[in-house]
Amino acid sequence: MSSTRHQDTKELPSYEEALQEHERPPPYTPPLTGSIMASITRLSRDDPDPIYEDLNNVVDSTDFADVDHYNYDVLSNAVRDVSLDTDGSSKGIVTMVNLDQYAKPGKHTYTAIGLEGSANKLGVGIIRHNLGPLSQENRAQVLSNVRDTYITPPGEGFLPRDTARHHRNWVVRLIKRSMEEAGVSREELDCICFTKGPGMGAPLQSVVIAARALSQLWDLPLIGVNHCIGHIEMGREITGADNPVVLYVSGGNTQVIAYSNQRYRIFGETLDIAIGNCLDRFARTLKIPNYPSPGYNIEQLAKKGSNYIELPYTVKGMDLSMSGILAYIDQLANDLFKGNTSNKVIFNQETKEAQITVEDLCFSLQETLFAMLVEITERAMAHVNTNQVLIVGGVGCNERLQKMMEDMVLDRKGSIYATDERFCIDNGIMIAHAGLLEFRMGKRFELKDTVCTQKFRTDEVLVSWRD
Amino acid sequence: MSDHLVELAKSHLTNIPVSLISQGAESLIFTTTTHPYMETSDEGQQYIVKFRPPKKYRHPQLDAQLTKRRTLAEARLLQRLYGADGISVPSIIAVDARNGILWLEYIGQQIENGVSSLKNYLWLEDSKADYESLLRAVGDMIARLHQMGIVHGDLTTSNVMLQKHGSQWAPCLIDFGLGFTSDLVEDKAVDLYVLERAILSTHPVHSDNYNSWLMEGYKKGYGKDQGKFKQVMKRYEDVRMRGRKRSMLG
Repeated sequence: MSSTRHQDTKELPSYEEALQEHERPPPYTPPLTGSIMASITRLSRDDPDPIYEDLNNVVDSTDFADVDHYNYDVLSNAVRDVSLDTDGSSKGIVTMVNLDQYAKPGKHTYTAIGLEGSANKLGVGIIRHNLGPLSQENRAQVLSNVRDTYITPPGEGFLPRDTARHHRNWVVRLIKRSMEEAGVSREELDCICFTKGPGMGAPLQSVVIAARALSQLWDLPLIGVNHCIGHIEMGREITGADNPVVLYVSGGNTQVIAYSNQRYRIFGETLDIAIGNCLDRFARTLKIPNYPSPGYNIEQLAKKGSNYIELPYTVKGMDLSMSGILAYIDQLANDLFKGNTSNKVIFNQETKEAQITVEDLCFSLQETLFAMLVEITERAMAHVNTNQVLIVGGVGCNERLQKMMEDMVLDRKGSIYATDERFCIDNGIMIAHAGLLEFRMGKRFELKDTVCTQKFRTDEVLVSWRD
Repeated sequence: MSDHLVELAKSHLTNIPVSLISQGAESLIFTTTTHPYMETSDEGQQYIVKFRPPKKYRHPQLDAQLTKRRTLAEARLLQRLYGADGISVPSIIAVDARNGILWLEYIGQQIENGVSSLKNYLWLEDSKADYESLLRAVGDMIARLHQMGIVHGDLTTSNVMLQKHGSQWAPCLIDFGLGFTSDLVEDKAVDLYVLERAILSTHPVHSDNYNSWLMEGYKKGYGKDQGKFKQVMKRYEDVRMRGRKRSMLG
């Protein structure tokens, strides 16, 4: 390999070495009072708390030992499929589109590497497709799926500039790691896929540059992928959902999507901020850790809340709005911390004692936001006459959201499909998968077209691989 | 459709025979031949019973509050709109807000692909002679609604029912559960935006035509009051840009 051109690469310490030195946020000291302390201190990685056990399986920089070679069985274990459907309408993805018209003669598989870095996660994944349409019998193989998350101290969000620097520092090591995991040499790769958008500009750019460099180095074609399409296609592949209504909920997106006429159409979406953004910002107000993710920590707090506080409920037709809710609950939290006893919602007016805890606030916020999400999803389902729901995106990991969705779908005698952290949270494998589908349909990018964009609507993409 | 919800509805409607005709997003629609407080003279006369079941996924407090609020809002708006000039809505017969039950006049009929909602009708064929006039009529009706200071809140093609008047279809607006009273230009513009998006996602192939017909009808509905129309349009453009321009991270 022309390592002379990449002196950078040569001087880098190995992944394990780097991990030792890798800066983590300083140990967390709870600034808050009362019951919140008890719950926060439990959020340590060494804690054998059962809630935490699941998380140890997440492919994250701190425990690469857990990264295994995903094979068939592991893949199907990832599916949390509450299939209530008895007529078998979810038997698999049957496509009539010929995906093999550009197959290289003599080759039986396609292999692609995907680079994702639209927000604070940097992910690299390698996927393999066999010839022929994808189905339950002919599933995509995940060869490797590694990720590193840029974590900021409590009370702070991730800034584009710092996130981009994180991606630049880690992308080479992650790619090496991922190739190693997969046991794939560069000769076996067919294409390099990268996130074209939507996302934050600076992080996107640093990943595109890495992808371009690789493409020049290895002489492989580049495929730009829409991030949302990546989530949807990976969700469909993992769960085997045939034609679901998709709820895409993450730090930057909140959309209800259904497929029709070769496009993923947006039925409803947020009119202002995204659900993950709303949760993240509330986590910042509470100054709870951003590790492993702010939303996860809110979820754990919410499990201990029980008092429901009335919050604004803003569903507008198929759309929803969350900024007002955030402003309101931020105000409540600030009043609670400052001890502003004139607030009648929080303080008992006679005893001047707080009747609401931080846990209650988290609980009420989740209940309200998720009820809105489930409601618009149900509207979309009624509108397009389907009874399958697929949840994708980082917030899709939230078990309360999954439970609420399941309750709704039960009443409609349908099925819900959700995946676990490996595929819900931004990852490289979904970019590789969606990119490979485009590649198989003959899509190629000129080098000059391999740019990224912050605004890239889900419905702008022609879904040529579905009929 | 879930049987326990149907049972629950029947438990609120003792001794009233009802049969389920459809399950919407938030309500079950039944038909019945019984009038709640009058002797029915006409044989075969049907009524609609709309039941908003409790949603298991919602917190009980939130659920009770939403059910009551929406049922009452719908009843109040239907009451205000009944008989209004140029607006057609089902008339209201009885309300039980706590249990989320509305008793309404029967609207629509069966067509080839289900009930005669505008959505189903537009899905019937690629183009029909009366699509244009129908959509113009819907636009006109929405304009009149807005002029009365009422915002529907959930304008989609499934919330417009069609009724046969002689050989002609005429639109009728239903489902005012998300409706409210407001004279703000913003609310009306968002109302139109919701409709535009619903058309775009439900009828993607002909959405341009459909939307322009709706808008022409909407313009006409303002009659001489074109100033108001222009204000709404100006805000409508802003709202559209807001939706498209929003940065999407993550």
